[in-house]
Amino acid sequence: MLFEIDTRSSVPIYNQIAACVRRAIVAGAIQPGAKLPPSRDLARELDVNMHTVQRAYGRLRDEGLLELRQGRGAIVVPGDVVPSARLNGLLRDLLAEAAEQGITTGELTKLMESMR
Amino acid sequence: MNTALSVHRGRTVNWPLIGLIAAHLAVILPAVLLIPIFAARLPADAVKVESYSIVTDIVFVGIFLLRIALRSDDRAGYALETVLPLTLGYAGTGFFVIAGTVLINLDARNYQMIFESPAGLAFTVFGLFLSFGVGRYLGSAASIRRLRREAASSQRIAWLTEVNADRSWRLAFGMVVGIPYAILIALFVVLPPGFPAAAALLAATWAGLVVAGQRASVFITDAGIRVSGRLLLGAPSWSLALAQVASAQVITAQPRTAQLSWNPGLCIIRSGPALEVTSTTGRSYVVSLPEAQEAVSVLDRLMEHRKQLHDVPRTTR
Repeated sequence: MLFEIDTRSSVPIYNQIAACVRRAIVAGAIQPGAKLPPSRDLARELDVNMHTVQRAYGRLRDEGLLELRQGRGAIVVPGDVVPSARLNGLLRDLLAEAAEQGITTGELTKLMESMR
Repeated sequence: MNTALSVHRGRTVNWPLIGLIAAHLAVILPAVLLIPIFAARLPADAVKVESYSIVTDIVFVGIFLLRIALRSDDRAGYALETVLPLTLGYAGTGFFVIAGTVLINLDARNYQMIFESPAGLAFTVFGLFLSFGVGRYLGSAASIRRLRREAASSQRIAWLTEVNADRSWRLAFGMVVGIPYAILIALFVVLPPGFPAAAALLAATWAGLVVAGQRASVFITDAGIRVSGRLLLGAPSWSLALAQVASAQVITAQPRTAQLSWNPGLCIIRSGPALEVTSTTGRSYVVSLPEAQEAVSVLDRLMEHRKQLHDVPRTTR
């Protein structure tokens, strides 16, 4: 799967990595049961700290999107992703994107209301 | 400017390979020095160890010197991820064989070869895994640093996947590697005094490699493309900086062609779609990849991205 980060962005790197995985799950680019790259490999290729990748994976586990198993790595939760977890993920992405563009949560809420 | 490429294209002394020969000698010499140090406690014919190590080392260093003499513009032959595991693996194994032979012969009445002793065999196998493991780790780290240095951008993109060998690879690998293995096993059994333990170990290794199968990791990043075999030798492995990639395309490949060519630029472990990357020197590198089409799209996008990055300063000047 494809990971894209920008080290100059105001969004923390672990959030950017987690967002890549969320997007891939929502878009169906990675299937339930699929194994994500080992955190050591991903950290090496992106030239970031391994703990940053582990933190991203940990966050996705807390959101119910991943299972972290000792010796087996990070696996996308089998079956349908819990809808609330998916929505949480999308909202986090939206908030991160807004923060990067300097849009406050209040402004974002107003924008969303205007679209209803 | 592509620093690594310009180093390899230089017509002066090839310092990386000279360095590797020096590293090889530095690893193996301490073991050879054990022989004169413990000469008084070794059987009279222990000199065999010394002659064995000197002959194999002359062959090894000779191969490297030949590589320097026959140097080409292509980086694959000198890729650290290929050369370091082989150099350190070979030198490290040699160290353990010589040191192990000295250890099992200390105060012994008759000279015993390392393959005749279960403890000696275990010591050798441990040394083999340790040496190749260290070599693979250092080789991989060195190639990533090189590729990253060449990319030097705040935007980082990585596409990672793993490929497992299929039945066609097992068949091709089993046959091609099986022939020299069978000759070695026959020699171990036939030659007096006979080394059944070593023969059994070789046969078990061959069966283990065929059953376990090859696995390859493919990493495509904004720095370049890196392919790394996961078996003991870490081969076939290759890497190309993005600046060296001329084009990428999907082809259909068969493992038997790669097994017979012994080309480190071919990592064909499945029958079917494969990613073929052509370098700016015209050489092609191949890796089996069920998602080859996706990999081509990613590479095309990265090359376009790189082109834009390099074009911007020129147009704004």
